[in-house]
Amino acid sequence: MDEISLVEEAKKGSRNALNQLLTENYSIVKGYIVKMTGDPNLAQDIIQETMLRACVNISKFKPNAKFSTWLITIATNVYRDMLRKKHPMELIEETLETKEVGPEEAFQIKAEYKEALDILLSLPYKKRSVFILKHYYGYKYEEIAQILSCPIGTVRSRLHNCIEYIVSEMERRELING
Amino acid sequence: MDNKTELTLKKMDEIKDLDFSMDVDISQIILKAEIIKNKKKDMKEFILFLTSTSTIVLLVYCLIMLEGTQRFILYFEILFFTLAPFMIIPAALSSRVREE
Repeated sequence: MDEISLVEEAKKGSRNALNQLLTENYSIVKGYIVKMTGDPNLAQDIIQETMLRACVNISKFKPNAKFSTWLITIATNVYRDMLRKKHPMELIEETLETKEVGPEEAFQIKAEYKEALDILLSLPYKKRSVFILKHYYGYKYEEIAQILSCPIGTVRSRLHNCIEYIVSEMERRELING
Repeated sequence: MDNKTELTLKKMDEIKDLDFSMDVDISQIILKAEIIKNKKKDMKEFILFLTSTSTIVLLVYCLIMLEGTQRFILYFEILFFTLAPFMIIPAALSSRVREE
């Protein structure tokens, strides 16, 4: 069954269709929120709240955008609300798992992971969101503009600023050669 | 894209597959959402009931206050309470069928 049919079934009250829709889009929302927060506990709370809001408001979803786009919009709003409440953050650092490599290499990978995540998290959430959606998930400018409710020009300039900032931070931390 | 930017983005790709296990039960979330939806629906129906009953009571009270309308009120009430079940019951049944 395609996404539009699943949405129609879910709107009629089918639990199976709703379950399938959420399960299929779970990994993208999870990946996005994990990168946005860098905090496993906060990410779990946001994902649960996002799924709950999506279930309650499924009748409001208009299939002129992808279901994942709608879920990411909700997730971004939930994250923004939690930022306003000043949710305490616990960084992901401790939960990082390195692949089967030697201790020296594992240490280096972990350090690079940490630096990359640190740079990403030091960005304001609106810019971080643009970078994550564009760089990791290949979203179009129009889709990002729709998710963040802002003009396409703003998305472009935020992405440009983001990349400039990340390059300068990488240079400052001597992760790339200047 | 210059070399520096390319290298930076490559470094940023290291967190592309950042992942860890999470305890999210989608079926439980769907059940919780259904409870929330039912509560909202009940609340909406309760408010509608309160508004309509108080409007009717207020209207009847106003009519009684007007002189010469007592006889009209009496006939109206007899007619209304006789006919009301014939309108309300089929309407309720059809709305329940539509919901199912």
